[in-house]
Amino acid sequence: MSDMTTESSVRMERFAYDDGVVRGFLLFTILWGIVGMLVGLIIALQLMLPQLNLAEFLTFGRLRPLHTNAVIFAFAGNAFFAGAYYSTQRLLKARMFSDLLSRIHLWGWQVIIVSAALTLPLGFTQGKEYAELEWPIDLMITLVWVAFAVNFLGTLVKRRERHMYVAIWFYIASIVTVAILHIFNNHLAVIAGPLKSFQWYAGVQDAFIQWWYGHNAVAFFLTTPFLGLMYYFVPKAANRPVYSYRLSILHFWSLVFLYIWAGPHHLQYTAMPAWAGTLGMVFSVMLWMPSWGGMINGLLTLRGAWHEVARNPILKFFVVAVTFYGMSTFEGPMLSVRSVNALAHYTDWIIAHVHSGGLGWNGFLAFGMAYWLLPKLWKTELFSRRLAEIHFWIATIGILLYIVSMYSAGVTQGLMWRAFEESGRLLYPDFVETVQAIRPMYWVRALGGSLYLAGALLAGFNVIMTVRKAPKDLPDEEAEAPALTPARGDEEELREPLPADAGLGRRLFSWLHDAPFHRRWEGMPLFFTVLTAGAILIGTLFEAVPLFLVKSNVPTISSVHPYTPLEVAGRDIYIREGCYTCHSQMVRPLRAEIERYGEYSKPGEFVYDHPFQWGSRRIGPDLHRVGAKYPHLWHVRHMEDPRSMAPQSVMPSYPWLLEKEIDYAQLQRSVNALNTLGVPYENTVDKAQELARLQAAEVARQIEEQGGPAGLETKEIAALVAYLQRLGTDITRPGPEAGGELPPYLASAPNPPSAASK
Amino acid sequence: MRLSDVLRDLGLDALGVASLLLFMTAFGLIVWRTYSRRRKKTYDEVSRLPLED
Repeated sequence: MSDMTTESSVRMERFAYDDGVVRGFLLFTILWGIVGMLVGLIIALQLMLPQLNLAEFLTFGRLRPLHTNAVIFAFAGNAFFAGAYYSTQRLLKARMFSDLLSRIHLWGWQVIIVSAALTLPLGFTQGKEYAELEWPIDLMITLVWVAFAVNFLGTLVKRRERHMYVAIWFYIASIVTVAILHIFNNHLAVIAGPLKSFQWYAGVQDAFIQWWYGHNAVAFFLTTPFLGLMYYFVPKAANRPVYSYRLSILHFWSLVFLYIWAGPHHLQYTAMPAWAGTLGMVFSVMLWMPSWGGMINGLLTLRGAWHEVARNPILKFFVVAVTFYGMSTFEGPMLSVRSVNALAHYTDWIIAHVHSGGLGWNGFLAFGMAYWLLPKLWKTELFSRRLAEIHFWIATIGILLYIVSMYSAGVTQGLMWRAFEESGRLLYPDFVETVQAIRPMYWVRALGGSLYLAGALLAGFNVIMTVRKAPKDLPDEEAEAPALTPARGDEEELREPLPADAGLGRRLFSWLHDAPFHRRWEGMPLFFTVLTAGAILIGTLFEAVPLFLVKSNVPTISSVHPYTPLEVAGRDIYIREGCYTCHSQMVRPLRAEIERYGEYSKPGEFVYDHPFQWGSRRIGPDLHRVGAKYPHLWHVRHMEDPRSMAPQSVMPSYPWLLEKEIDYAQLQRSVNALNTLGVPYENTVDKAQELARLQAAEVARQIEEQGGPAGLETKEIAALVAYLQRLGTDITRPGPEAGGELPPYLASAPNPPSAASK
Repeated sequence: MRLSDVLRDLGLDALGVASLLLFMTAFGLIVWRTYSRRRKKTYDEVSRLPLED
């Protein structure tokens, strides 16, 4: 709808908001929320009933990324977009810059979600948490995000309200930072097939980039966008202004500056250099300050309106959401402290932490916002406030059951893993004992998750019934506002005139204190955007540049060699099946871990790991030193039916690995891509398939010799066994200076590659 | 001299100190300006923006 101008003493312009796009995003929020939570419930049940891993496409390892991607990018993403499109137009007194771009964003995002829902169960994955989607989908994300950014910035340019309210700042920070994170963690890769790629980075550096991305996906996809929503929708629902606008300014700048540094706290005690972990920890602890400032600001916005909370389910959702924001952001920095991290990392404590944030903060803010928006967008009463009230209570009980059981499971795991007998031996040497101990907590978790899902289903019903009773014709809401005039100059009035003889110090003081530069920046949206990008890039550069440039961060080990072509194929299978969702490959330098798994992991062992597979959780044991620990046949039997080797195991069975043929064409493409990335295959590249067949024949021969089935030389299991048997064994092999030789199937080429490590 | 040499010679601990000082300086300036009494009226006005649509 074109803008119309009316003549009056103040030049007023009439226009209409585009609420169609908000309605679209809101409906998809509820739909994908239900789907994502349902998948979450299924994988929770799979951890207790492994027989629920019904087929190759429905195993835990393939569905878990689907769950995380669905709830983060589909549920929370659509909620952010719905709220941002609604509030941005009203705060800026302008229709979105382009209806076409709004539709491209709406439908493009849903196409991305459907693509993810199809490719992840099929095993197409980059093997990095929350960044699993393969390159064609990453490309789609970039295009859609650019459409969103152009549309948003275009709206800023054509706005009628000069001041950009703080919610808009949070949206800008989110849009800019997510773009930077996405590009650096996903697009710097070499393509190795229609749905296969390898990241530029390897090992320690890949881990750093991944958790710079992963942590800030939480920060700038699940925190800053939702803070923007909080600063708009909580005042709206409470019908009173935010408690302290000044606090919101501090909240914003501190948060965007500090958050980006915190990524390495996900890698405490790993092969990541300690200085990076320390920086991550210190800045994480400093995050308490802005996070709690924001929480206090949100809760105190309800001052004088607490009586409303008792009878208004929307305010209830908001109060609990902001409370969970405070709890999660207290817990996060605490978990970043090394001594706490040593206990909590890899355990279900982290699962409790992310769900208190996800279900409590993001989920409740999204549902509260949805209930507030529904009557306004469909121009009718909410179908049932009573159902919304019931939703609130069962979801609250659901969250509490979920997180209390997972805290309990996490602490139990952590303590059992590190428990020693008086004689100095591990008290629970068999990992599966620790899995069995937490099964009761898993049942409580499933109950909690079911309640939360039931609440979401009630919300879905409430939405459908509200939409059904809405008028058929839903015209865009019209509004009127004065055209944007040149800067009002109110900040200039604040400046006190300086005496003519004022010294340089006084002039500098006056300028720093009084010059209206922040006000001017807010009037220059593009400059403000650049400034925000600068705030987040400072932290990135401070950590990334030394990590990538200073060689001492990753001391090389001369006996570490590239994976053989067959091991590359096995690694691709490991990634496809999502093994990293349950198994780490990182033995920390802690006594209990060395006792349980073997020598701690060194940075130089991972220089050929594209991508790194350190994992973040141990539903099963660490695998970094699993190589040569068991005979080949043990792995074959274990993959075919884990309970035949460990009766209490909850791992899915992978019988298809004994039936499916090795994809030699893909193996060649993978080796080619790795070689392009600098993995020194040199003249063995062209013989990759030949070398892989030789090694597969040898692996199959040994399996048969150990009493296993014959004829596995062309099957995927041979490749996976080859990979697993290689894991963590390089450091026990002598390097070239000690007369060591290259591993077989790298050295068997006519002209073997250089023995020098990368 | 290459950047990697400069960073190595500087010592990685210096980075942490420098980054902390950078943040504390920026934070101090923002607090000082934002909580200036003269800006209270302006901020009180803009805090009402969500309620004006």
